Amino acid sequence: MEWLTDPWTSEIMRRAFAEAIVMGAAAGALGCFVLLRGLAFLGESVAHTLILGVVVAFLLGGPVALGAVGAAAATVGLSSLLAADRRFSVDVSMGVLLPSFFGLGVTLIALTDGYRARLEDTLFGAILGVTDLDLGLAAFVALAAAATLLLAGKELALVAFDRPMARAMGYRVGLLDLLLFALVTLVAVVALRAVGNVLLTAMLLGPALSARLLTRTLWPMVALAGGLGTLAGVLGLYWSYSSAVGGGPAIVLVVAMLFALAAGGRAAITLVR
Amino acid sequence: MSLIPSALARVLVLGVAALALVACGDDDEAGSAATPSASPERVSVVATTMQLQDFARQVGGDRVEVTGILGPDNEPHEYEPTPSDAEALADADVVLENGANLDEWLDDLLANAGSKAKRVTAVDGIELLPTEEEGFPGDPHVWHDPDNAKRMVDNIATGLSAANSEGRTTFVRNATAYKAKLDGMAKQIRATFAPIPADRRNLITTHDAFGYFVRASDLNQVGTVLPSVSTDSEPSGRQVRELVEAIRAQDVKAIFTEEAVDASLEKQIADEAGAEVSTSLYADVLGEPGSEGETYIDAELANAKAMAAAWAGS
Ligand SMILES: [Zn+2]
Repeated sequence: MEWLTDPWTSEIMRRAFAEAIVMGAAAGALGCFVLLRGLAFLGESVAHTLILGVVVAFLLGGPVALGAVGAAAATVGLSSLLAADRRFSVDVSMGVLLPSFFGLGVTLIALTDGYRARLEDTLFGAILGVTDLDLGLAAFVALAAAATLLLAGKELALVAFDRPMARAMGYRVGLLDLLLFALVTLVAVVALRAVGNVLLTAMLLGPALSARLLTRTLWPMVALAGGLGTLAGVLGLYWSYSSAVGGGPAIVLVVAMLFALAAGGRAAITLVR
Repeated sequence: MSLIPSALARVLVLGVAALALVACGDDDEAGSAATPSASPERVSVVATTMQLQDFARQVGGDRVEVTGILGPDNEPHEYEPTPSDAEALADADVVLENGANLDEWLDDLLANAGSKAKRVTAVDGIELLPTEEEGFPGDPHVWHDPDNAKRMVDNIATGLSAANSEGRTTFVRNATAYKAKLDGMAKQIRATFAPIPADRRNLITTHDAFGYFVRASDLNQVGTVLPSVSTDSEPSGRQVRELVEAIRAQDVKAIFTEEAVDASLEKQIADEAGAEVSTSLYADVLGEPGSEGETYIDAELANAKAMAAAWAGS
């Protein structure tokens, strides 16, 4: 049983577990809404957007997480301004804003000679170097996601499944879109530290896709996806603790394995029927 | 439905990125046009690493015009060449590279620039320390041993003489004078470490760049934070655990960083193992002009001083 308890004796690993569990649960649960709403590109675009904040933080010598939060806030703020005009849906305003932010980030990288190795590391995640600031941020994101799902989960679900119906029932669809968008951006900031920019989309959509293979009902799917995300975080770190695989890549590889298992399970269920 | 915005987003992203790159290229061209061009009688030398740029200036003196590719902020392992680099190479008489896969991006750059420059590989004739790293013939960070630095200086003098035979006497004279300074530097480094007992000379750095320094100064490399002779890697949980255990077992006092930007991994490891995060070392680059690591000799002395200070204070 030592292999089970050993990682928890290390402060570095305990921090990594906390970060991975929060990120896995939040990314998994929110990923369902992103998937159902047909916004699969959202995670990737948000990841790109955050580059701007990371680069600015790097240039100013501040913490990378704060830079990412700044970029996230700016994106959400600007798209809400755009979405206030009824002619632009949130999709459209994001479609314009995200690439511009990314372009600006890339330009800044190109203009500064100092796009150093460690900045790149940040973009690929470094879950074993989680700081107090990162952990605080993760806790805040977890609370925000849980509160939103409790208070506005039903509305978010209706918007995801049946937009015209939601609108007819008098829901403020644009506002709900924005809420989801804001949460995904926050989760992306946490996942940026944990698995990095490149693997962020897999973390957001992988557990949701697996859960959808196994159930069609919304709330079981959300719970299952959150659970699968958490499981991937924990198993991935155990794996990294006993191998030469980096923390972030290990977590995402477990996400992929769980998806393969879910697909296998789905096929078995179909066969039995 | 979701496919269309996704594809659109990709196209937009790529478009903006391409624009950004083009804009940057223009900017760089403007920058290099503003710098005075080499006078015709001088040998035009392009050197990749900052150490080579320093060596080339020392050996070439007034007879060469040295253009550097890497600056204080460019990690050689992950460098992305710019259009202005290609432009500088196109006009160069001599190209100085480190070799041993440190600056392997030069191959593409030379091909693209259509350069006819004489190519001088500084590590030629130096026995490389073995490395398990794939793609590396050996540890490329040879300059951290003063004897290797002297060999690099000789290689540069030979290369410059081949490109400009009238300068030969000057190059050889300058090289001899500079090698004497390198001997002085080696002596100073030995004196710096002399008071430190052998069991305290335990070095931990960000990436595996100090193998030659460790050998030359009789240090003990306990481990590195990044498990690689390169900087583009992430350690696994096991590697971090093993490093923490080694730090505790050997009672290591300090972990040296390389760049001050994001040393959070170093900080976590130091906290857990009960060590300190110490000043950054000049591993692959030299310092900004005016800093204490401005020249190769300054940087090596600063490294030795920083290590000795961390180990003496314990
Ligand atoms: Zn290096």
